[in-house]
Amino acid sequence: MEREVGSPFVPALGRRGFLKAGVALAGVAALPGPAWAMLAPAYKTRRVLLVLFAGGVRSRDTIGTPANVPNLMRMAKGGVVLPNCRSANLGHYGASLSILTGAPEYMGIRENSRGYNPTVFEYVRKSLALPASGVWLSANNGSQGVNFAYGLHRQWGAPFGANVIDGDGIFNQEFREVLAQFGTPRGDSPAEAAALARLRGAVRVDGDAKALNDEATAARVEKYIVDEITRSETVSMTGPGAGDAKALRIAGNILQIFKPTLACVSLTNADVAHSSYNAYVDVIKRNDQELGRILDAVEQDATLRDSTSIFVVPEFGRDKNLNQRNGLDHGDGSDDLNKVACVAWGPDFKPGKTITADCDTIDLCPTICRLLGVEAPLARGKPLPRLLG
Amino acid sequence: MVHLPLSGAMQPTRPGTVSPAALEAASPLATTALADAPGDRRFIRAVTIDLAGRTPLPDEWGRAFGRPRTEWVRELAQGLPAADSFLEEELFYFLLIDNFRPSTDSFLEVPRLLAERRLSVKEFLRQLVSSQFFNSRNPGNDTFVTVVLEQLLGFTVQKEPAILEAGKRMYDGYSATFLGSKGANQSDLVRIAIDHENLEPFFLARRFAGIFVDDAPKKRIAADAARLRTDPLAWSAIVADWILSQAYDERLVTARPKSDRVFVRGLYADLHERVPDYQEFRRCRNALLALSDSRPLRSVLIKLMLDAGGAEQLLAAHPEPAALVRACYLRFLAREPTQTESGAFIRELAQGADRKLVVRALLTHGEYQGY
Repeated sequence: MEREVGSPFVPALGRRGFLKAGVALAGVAALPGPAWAMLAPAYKTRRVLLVLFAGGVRSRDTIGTPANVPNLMRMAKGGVVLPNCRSANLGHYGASLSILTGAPEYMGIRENSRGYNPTVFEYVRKSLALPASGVWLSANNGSQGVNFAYGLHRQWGAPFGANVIDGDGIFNQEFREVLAQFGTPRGDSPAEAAALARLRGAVRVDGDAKALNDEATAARVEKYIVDEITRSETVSMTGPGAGDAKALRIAGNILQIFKPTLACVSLTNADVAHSSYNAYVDVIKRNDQELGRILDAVEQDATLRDSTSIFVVPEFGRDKNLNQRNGLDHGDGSDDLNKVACVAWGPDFKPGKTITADCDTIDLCPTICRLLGVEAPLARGKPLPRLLG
Repeated sequence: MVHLPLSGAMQPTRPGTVSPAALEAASPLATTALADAPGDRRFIRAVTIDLAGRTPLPDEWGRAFGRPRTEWVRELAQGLPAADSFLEEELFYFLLIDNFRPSTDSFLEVPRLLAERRLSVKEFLRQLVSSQFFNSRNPGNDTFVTVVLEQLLGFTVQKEPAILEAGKRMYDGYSATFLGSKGANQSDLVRIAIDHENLEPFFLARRFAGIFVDDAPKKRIAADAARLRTDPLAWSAIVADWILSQAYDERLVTARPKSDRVFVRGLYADLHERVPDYQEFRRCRNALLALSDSRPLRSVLIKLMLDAGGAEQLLAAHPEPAALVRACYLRFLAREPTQTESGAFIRELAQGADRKLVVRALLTHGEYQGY
């Protein structure tokens, strides 16, 4: 597949490429935000769900073994499969972030800091002038997950970040007990709220930094959090792979409640494969079940049904052969590790199509942006022309 | 519902602001005695957060006043609260948390041994990387060697594929030369990494960045690394020197945000006048870390804790409105209220506002979210 820049295997722009990218960026940046949308053809897609089926998942254990993933196969039948998506073994964190930024991200695998490139969340929020409630990430990445919200690039950054929620960290029995120890969350009376607002307004303010969520959105988020903790069954989901399952369940809830333009789920539990192949397959199966719930919910929701596109892609695969513990590591350089399958489902994709041409996982970011009428000027991947038509 | 606005106090300081000369120069205030005054209160609170990972408890404020800065800082840096925080921050850095948190007796003793100067940073790191918990957290040759190289020694593994491959071979039990030394198993690999010349400078650089929100001046880090190699127990003295420099005084000019970890510990210290136990801390921390914008949840926690009797002692000790407002400002914001602020709060109380609202207004304000 011919490309100027963008492959994870072409990690650095040459001087000429850098200048070209700079000129292109300057040209695009000169356009007012809404005008960017005029660069792209009109698509039916109005919202996108990107599922990072991550933790290291081989194609041979998903589309290569349909019994493991009946719902993913359902998506494949109604959508497009790209079985030759090249990935780079940058560690789970770096490889997942690469998909979100559309550029190779060399992050330490335990690194707990943000990348420098803008993410797909920032491109979409800034260009479409969306509030934070329009862009969500449901993650199961522990403390690293919030770093996916935005990068450190000055032209984008925190003001355009995603609302990130790590369900396993907050929607669990333990935290429910912490809250119960203090009582039940209650709302303020109007008089109480007014007095509090006056008091807070009286305190000297040294600056005027913007928060991710404005007051109204923060209130909606707070209500959602309290509802999910106190009333939802998400809290009681347990067992192997529960973290991923919660992330998917929450993504489904967020899709229905907030109807965001862009939602993403980041999974990790498949990495149990290091020590157990069987446990890894169980995680894949459980995640597929939850994926099926989302698919059902989208198909049954009149607002979502004809306007939502879903992408499912792992960040990379795993080794070809089992290790000494009957598990699967990820470091052998094989095609099982370096090529993954991406499944795209939605109103703009031809059902049952397979695109065998090589592509890269970092193409997802610009592809999603193109679908939503947005540019991703710093992404090094390219929109997938055969997918988008 | 009320949410926490971010004020200018939440803006991180810009990288590149630490002057090497200011870091070498002792603070002109280093030998003066700490007083119950706004500047010193801010200093005491910031140092306690940077060293102990929380705001001071009421008796700790009292013990600081009247002491020379140098004496108080060196004592705090060597004390048990700082050692407790050191351990927790290191475990968090390596993401050895929750199920992977070391729970054996030898790790539970780490803070005491550090405080008693019977355990060095280097030996602690060696024990940590050799532990079953580190091994479980980083399974397989690729992950283990990558984390050792990245987190312990500061390598960018993608730029050093030969080193990674050598390490993986050694991890798997084959003879290999890793970082210039020969070995043939996982234990050899850990020994070689711990003895590598990058260990001390990388450790110091990341700890420096945690306090100053900036890259460390290379010459200073090299000098401190040499000092730490010569005297493996010198960590507390090194960090105390950083804090007693002019550079730290300059750092305090711009407030920076409290991490969720500091927020949780500080909230317990400020409202309940105690340190949270590990489970209380862990559960609240994990919940806050689960959100890119933790303000809605911070707000819920503040309200719940106040409704459940938080700050009761403070409220009971100050029945007069003016005294209560001043006490709240001093404890939560480490400063006196302005006349305008005090007047507004007293008026609101006179009109029947719940006294707890004074506390809640300050804790949910952006100024409390920074230090």
